Amino acid sequence: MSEPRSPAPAPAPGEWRRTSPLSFVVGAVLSLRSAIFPTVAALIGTGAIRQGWVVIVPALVAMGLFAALFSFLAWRKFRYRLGETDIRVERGLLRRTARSVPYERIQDVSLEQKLVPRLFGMVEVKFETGAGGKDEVRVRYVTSEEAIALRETVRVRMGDTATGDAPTGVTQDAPPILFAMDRKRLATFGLFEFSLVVFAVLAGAAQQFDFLLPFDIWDTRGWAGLLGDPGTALQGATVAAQVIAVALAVALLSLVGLATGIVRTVLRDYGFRLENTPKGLRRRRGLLTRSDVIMPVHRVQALVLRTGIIRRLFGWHGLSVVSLAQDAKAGNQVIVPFARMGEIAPAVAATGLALPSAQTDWHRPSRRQIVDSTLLSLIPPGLAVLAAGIGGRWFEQASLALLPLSAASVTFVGLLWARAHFRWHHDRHAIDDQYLYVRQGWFAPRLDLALPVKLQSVEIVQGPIAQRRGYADVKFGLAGGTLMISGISLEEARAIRAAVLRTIGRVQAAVPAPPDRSGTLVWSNWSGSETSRPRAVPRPRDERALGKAIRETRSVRATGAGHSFMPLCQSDDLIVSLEDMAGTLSVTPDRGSVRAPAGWSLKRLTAALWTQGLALANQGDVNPQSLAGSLATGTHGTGRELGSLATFARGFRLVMADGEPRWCDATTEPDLFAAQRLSLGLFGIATEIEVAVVPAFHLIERTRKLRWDEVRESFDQLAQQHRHIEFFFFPHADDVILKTLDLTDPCDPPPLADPADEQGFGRMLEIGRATPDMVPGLQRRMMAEPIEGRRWGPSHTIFPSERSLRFEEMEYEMPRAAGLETLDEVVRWIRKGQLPVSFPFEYRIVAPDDIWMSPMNKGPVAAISMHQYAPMPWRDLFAEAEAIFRSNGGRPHWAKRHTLSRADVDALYPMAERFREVRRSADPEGKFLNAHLAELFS
Amino acid sequence: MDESDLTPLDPNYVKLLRLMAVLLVLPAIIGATVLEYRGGLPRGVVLVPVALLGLWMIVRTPLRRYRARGYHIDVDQLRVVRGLVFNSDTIVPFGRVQHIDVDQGPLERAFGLGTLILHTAGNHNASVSLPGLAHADALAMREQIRAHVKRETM
Repeated sequence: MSEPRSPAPAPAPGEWRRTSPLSFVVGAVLSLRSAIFPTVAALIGTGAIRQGWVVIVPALVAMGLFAALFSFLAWRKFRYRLGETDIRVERGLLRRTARSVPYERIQDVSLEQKLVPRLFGMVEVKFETGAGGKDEVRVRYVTSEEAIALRETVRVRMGDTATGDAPTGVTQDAPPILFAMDRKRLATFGLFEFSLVVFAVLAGAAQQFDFLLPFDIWDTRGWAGLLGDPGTALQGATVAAQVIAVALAVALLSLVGLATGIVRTVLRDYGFRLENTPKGLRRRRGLLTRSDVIMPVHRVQALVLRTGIIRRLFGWHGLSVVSLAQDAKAGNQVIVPFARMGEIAPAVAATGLALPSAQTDWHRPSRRQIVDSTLLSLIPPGLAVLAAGIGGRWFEQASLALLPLSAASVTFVGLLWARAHFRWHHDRHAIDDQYLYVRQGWFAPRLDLALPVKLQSVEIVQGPIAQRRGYADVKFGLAGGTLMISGISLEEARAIRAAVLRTIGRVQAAVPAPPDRSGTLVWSNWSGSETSRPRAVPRPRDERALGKAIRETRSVRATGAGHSFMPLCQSDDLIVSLEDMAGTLSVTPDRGSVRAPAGWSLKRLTAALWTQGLALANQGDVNPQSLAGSLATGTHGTGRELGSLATFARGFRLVMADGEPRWCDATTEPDLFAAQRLSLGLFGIATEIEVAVVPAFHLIERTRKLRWDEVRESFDQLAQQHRHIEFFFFPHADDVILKTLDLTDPCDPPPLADPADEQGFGRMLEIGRATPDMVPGLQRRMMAEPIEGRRWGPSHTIFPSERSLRFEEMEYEMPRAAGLETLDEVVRWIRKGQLPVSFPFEYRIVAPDDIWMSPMNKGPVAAISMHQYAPMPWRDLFAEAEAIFRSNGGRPHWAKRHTLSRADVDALYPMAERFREVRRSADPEGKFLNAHLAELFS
Repeated sequence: MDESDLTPLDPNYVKLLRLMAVLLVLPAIIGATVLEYRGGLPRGVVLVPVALLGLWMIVRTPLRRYRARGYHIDVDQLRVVRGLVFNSDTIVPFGRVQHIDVDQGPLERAFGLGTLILHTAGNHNASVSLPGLAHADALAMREQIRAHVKRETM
């Protein structure tokens, strides 16, 4: 198919369109082709053929006319329309069918040119929905220009370009070719595709069209006579002649097999080309039927690297994609049919996955499983030999069978042993930071490459023997394919399942993200505003491994959920994740504090505390952050008498710059502890933290609407009455949403705890993003709705709210007395300029503390958070607001947007230099510094 | 993390399993009785073993099957364990749930039970069913998971 220089103008939305008029000619030719056999058969069958041309010619003409008429009607009655939200297709002569497929359901658009349509320059466009081909929509035959325009239009509507993975204006002149096959390669490939399928086809055809054959194919006597003569002749011939005959037969068979392989391969893969276009991987192939498919990279679920037992010896492999748009034909997903490993690597990289490297930590299946399955397969041949042996006592024929049977059994056992041997040496699986690899199979070895984050479910299966012998299979739910690790120890199966689920559960998939197109690791924070390209993202399992990593690096930062907005986790060498660190929760004898693994998320920690009858006295309003990260940045909740999470710390176990662990608390190394309480991760990487806890308690949350001027008057009084209090304030609306939390009797949460309609809010944000002028009006309308909500339950389930809409945030801790006035000043500035600030302000209060670098160390504070919807511009807005916060005596939250300089830090924090001194003695080489932190604290 | 204690199914589920076993065993008992009286075989040669096996399948097996089953609903995932001989232990994260059904057959209705079915996009385990829940529990679990799914997809 020829690519036009510029795509034809896209059809206007909402307009009913017909396919190309030529398509009715194509349709007529096709139906003629499929009708000609039955017609001829009917003519022969009825004996009408004997009448000669008098009958045949009119019959053929009538048939032609009939085909043309039907094809014309079908063309007339077929129309399609690209609507605002869906594609509609109407067709059918007598029974009309109208089908509507929403754009978001469409997984893929493919173009196909079969031989006949191709002669007329026609293309079939297929919109795949991923429902196994059931609900797909086909538009049969348009010109290739229109087909491409159609595909472009639908892709845009599908959101492919809107999501930004294909920026408009990208030149499409020469997309990089990932793989192509020349004729020599095609021929080699064909040789390996040896197939005897042609005999099966011939046999099938013979059965179907036997009435056409000049003799009766099922006449066994005739066959016997035909074959009997040479057969008897052969018997009489010499041994040499027999050998030659057999050799000739084998040679013929091989020749036919090879020829079939080559022909089939050439027909299918002629001119194979795989390109990396901005829209995805584009594959074109085929001699007579030319197909052109684009597979969007983000729909790739997994890759399968296949080879055969023979081609493996020659180093040939093939790569297929498992994707959501699963076509009925499995072969349709092949992206590299036949290549060397080195040629496959670029295609793998283009899908965001990677081939296993030398560092991949391979594991074997359980030896017991291999032994068991081999022994089990011995049972049937064993039984057969046994039966023949016993039968031989009574029947002579049975004992005759004994010899060949035993020979076959010995061969079988040999094969089994070879298989077990091969499996032991080749079956492997590995799971690391980002990928899951499963390599198995004997006759057709395959390697599955999957992203754990894209798996759907995990099942551990054990049969009766496996239960007793302690191994299991792990089956993964994979969209569009299957994936299984068989025969590994139960503990390992559980560990793998836990690892996969952790990846899936990490809603804020902060680290490690799949590598970008160039293959580098990319770390990104939750809002997506900060990224870093570390050399590696190790996930140590114990302190020794962590110590080794720190000792051997020049630069390292630890990361948790990436829930900070400042470049705190950036590192060009290592970004360590503590998620896999072993460790448990231990409660101190007085039950006043616990020691917990530092890498645990607050969610995990508070859930574990609850099972011990304990809780944190206060929490913030999200809980995916790691314990270490939330303490290190001074994260806080709200409440007049409650300090930030950093005030809960009682002691830290740190792995220091020299790789050695060290404990610090108020009495052991008091200076290090004083600095470490709010550390920004500058002194070492915490592995265990002792935090103060309280007996478990229940909370009731009440949400209501209040006028802003009312809040300004009564807030201090309200703050006295409630354990926790905060409000959300859309700057363009007059009302605020007041949220209070208070102690309540033990209770179970109500079944539906979903007070805020975040969906409506999400829609409003999107409108506001498209037309910022509408933000003020939208906010007022939204706040005009009644807002009233209550939910209750265990404290750790009530503190956090879901925050699925991504935002960017700046937060300043104001002196409590100046809080409401400052907020008023900022809001007045926003209203005056009608500025598009689409998220609400959040206003909370925090008790004072005595921590060196804490913004609460001068007295009680009011924390004002300013948010902006992440896809909207925020930098200039935040800069102006920051000036207002600073002029009113505010100090920023360390993990949220601020622009403090080193001089600012010195001016705001009297202990800053002391903090730096402790840092310099703890980490003289500055391993824990990055550019941002070095500027402030080197 | 995932080796948490399992919640047992509703005790009525044992009764349902027993009833189903009765329906399965009954034809065999009838057949054996007919054979006993018409077949001219020695007394008890067929009926006694069939009756004993039937009794075992009605009394013992349902209880063991019930004990082998269980589930654990976490904040963001559901674990379903089943199978005496072939044990399967499945976890479905709510973030991967496409849609949720609560089914109730006529027998289940008689015992106030329901089956919760989670559908995922995976080819394997495209639907994970959890039978033997009290119908009200099944509905409450559906709501809980639905709320989670709604939040995740926004």
